[in-house]
Amino acid sequence: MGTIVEFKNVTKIFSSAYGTTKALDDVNLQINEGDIYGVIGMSGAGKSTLIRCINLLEKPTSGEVITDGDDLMTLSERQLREKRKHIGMIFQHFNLLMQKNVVDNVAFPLTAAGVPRKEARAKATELLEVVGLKEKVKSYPASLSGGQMQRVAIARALAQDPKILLCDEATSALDPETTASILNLLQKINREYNITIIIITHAMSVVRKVCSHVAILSDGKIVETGLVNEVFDNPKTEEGRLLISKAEESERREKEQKGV
Amino acid sequence: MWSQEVINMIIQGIGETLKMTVFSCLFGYLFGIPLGVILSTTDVNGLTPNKYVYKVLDFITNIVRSVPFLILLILLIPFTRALVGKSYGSTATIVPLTVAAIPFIGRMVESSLNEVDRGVIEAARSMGISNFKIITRVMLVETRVSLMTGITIAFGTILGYSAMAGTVGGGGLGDIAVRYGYYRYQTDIMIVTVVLLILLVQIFQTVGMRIAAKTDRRIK
Repeated sequence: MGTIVEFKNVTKIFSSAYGTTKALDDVNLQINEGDIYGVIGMSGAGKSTLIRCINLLEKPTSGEVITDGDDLMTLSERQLREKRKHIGMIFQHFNLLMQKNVVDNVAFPLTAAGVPRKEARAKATELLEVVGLKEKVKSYPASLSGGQMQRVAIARALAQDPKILLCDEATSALDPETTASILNLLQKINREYNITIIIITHAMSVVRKVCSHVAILSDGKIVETGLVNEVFDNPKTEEGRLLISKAEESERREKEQKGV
Repeated sequence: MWSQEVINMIIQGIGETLKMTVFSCLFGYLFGIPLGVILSTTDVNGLTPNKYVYKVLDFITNIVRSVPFLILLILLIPFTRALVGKSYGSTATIVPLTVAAIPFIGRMVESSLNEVDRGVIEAARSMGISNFKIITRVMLVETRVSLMTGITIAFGTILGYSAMAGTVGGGGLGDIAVRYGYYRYQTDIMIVTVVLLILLVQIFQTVGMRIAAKTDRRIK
């Protein structure tokens, strides 16, 4: 199993009229093929920026991002688009096309890439079966539940046979039961298609449930990495301990509020 | 009063008004869609922000929009004459109507396109789709309901402008209303033409909104 994503001294600085923010500060990270890798951090820690650097939706200010063998910073716009086709991505708010039905949403990355509609739809239907939404093929997203919409988004992300699947707070808008079923689906995809999955989240429970490895991000810096159990049960740094206790605290409060 | 002659004149007026409005709308959108697309995509929060392109187009659009239509019509007389050979009549009026419609339509297209969820555009980018295809296959498709609503608004506005053009020999129902109702004190003819104008706007508004609602997949 080789390395599939590698960050070398990645720094990302956002500048605005109000000053500059260092969203990522000299990040080094190595993710191996076949992993389910979690990146956890509080809001504002730079998680979203980090995951967007993997497919260069955000361009680092400095450093190298090596994804599936290529240093993305050296690719041309066209090469980068080609590369992105093999990196699926799902989002907190699903980001489906609201004017297209379910099957055309899943077929969209293919038809946009020039695959004939009939062929694209056949593949989309197959994928909808994988995510358990065969009966919703003709429905429109507006009529689906959050969990169903995320399943459509997952099927869509799989349409171009990716090697990597990026999950940006993909379960944060879902209730605990739906979250569990989506995480199960991600696990199944990881096993059956050998797709490396990278999950960005603020929820420890998500990392505990599916991830093999975890990195803790705090103020744009990776403060700890390792196997999930090792890091969570025995954090080595002060920041790690602080973050884990904070995350546990907020999860407890969330549970109490929901009356669980 | 209601001789065959008058009736024929009114029928011809309806035809001219429709001709001016439909063609101005068409040409207006021919140029207005690219204008709106460029305004929306070069905006700070757009697909490919470009401060200079945006500022220049924004400025020109505002200027043309600020000139009262009647003044624009007169200012454009040399241009109209150069383009169609004369400056009066319904065909010639299409020229200033189109010029007035382009920035107006451009603004509406811009505001429609700005409604597209940034997340959806980001998702499309993550799939490796080019900006051009994001515009044509995502933005213009996702906003089709809003664009359709825009068309009905544009139609009503241009129809109103075309009636205004009637006062300076532009032809159509507005021309009849002014010539008969105002200069000859034939109030009945004026009322009929005004009612016809109202009806035209109503019909297009209703049909347009119905098509918009029918094609919207966000409800149901």
